[in-house]
Amino acid sequence: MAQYSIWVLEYAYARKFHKSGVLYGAHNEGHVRLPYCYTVIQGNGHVAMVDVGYNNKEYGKEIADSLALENWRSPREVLAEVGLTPEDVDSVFISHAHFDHFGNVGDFPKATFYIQEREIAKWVWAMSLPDRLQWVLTGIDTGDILRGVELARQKRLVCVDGNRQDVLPGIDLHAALDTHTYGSMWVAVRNDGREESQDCWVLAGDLVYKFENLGDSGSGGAPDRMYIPIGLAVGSQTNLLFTTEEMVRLVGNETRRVIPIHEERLKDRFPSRISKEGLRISEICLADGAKSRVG
Amino acid sequence: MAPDHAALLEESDAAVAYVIEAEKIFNALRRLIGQLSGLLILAETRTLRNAPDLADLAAARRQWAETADAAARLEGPGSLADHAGRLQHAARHVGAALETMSGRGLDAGEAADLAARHLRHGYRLLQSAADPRAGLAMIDMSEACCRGH
Repeated sequence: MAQYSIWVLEYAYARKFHKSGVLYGAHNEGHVRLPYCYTVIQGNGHVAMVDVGYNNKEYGKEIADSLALENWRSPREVLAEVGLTPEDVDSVFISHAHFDHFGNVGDFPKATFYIQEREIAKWVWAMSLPDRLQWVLTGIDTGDILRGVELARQKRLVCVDGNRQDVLPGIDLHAALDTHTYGSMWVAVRNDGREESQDCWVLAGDLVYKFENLGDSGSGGAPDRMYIPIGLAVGSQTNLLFTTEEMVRLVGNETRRVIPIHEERLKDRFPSRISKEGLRISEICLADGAKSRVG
Repeated sequence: MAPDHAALLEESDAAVAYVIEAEKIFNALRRLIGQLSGLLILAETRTLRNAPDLADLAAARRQWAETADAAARLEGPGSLADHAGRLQHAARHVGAALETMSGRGLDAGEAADLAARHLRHGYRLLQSAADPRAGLAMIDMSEACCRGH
């Protein structure tokens, strides 16, 4: 029994992203094409997302241009590829507050957003630090925090304190504190609904960018190399490694079940197609009876 | 390009001196808006038992006092006068937000709405004054590993 369909939807990309940003230590090893994606989970009467990308209007476009991001499409266009609209989304799990994950809440008028309380609290602390320590704020858009206030006033922002099981049936939130950011979070979908799931998928946010971060040399099975952390951690690389271990253990050492949304090679591992706008849709799994959106 | 944004990029001594001072004020205000926004979120979403530590507000108040003082002394040469005015106006809005939050407690609905309005005004003023080429960036990606170029 599979309760949920899961898709990873590309909404923009960078053609040349420094490889050392996605794999710690990969200095002078050139660039990779980096998809920018969010994840849709549909089933049990819900449409949920992991992250919402950034808004290319106004200042968002300036940021994107500075990072050489291309081909941004709105959530309306991107979600249409899987037969959905932004208004269908009832729940959004924000993996962390970087601009390309928390930067477009306004396009989802009916969603309740979930974020680690520590993510907000520590950014508040970080913003009080002197100028010489401001590197820690890389990637944070003050405007996104400000837009979060409106969500909170509308009772549409839930600050989660640590792990939370069954935020939706079979969907759990896991805190990954002091890793990529202070209050990062990953999502586990127990697709058979069982406590000890045999069909679990992990949506890793930015805790994992590439298969190599998972010690996966290409088989998608048990790690056959050492884990390599991603490039950026305002927390610690050690915490990132142990979070990776936790994610891999949860899926029974089957690394293909830990989904890195920035991984270009997802299209080689999961049924995928390219939309007429040149963006990728990858179908991670289908709920029982659900229609394929890539076939 | 707006006249004042062109002036931000001039290499005259006056323009360079202005940008150096403006950048400190700009970044401080940007962070203050983020801090106060975060505190409003926490006040709204936490239980009373876990209400934000008022020391956070005190720290923000101290930072604002320094920033407001610097903003008041900021003088924009020539066409940069308008740019300086926007930073000063933004500082006043941030101060008003802080005053609102400090005076009535963080969990009062009306105070939170009013504070948020001031912060939004301040944020928009900063946006209008932003120019990453002059170091006035709404998001600092200058040392990010994900810089595209």
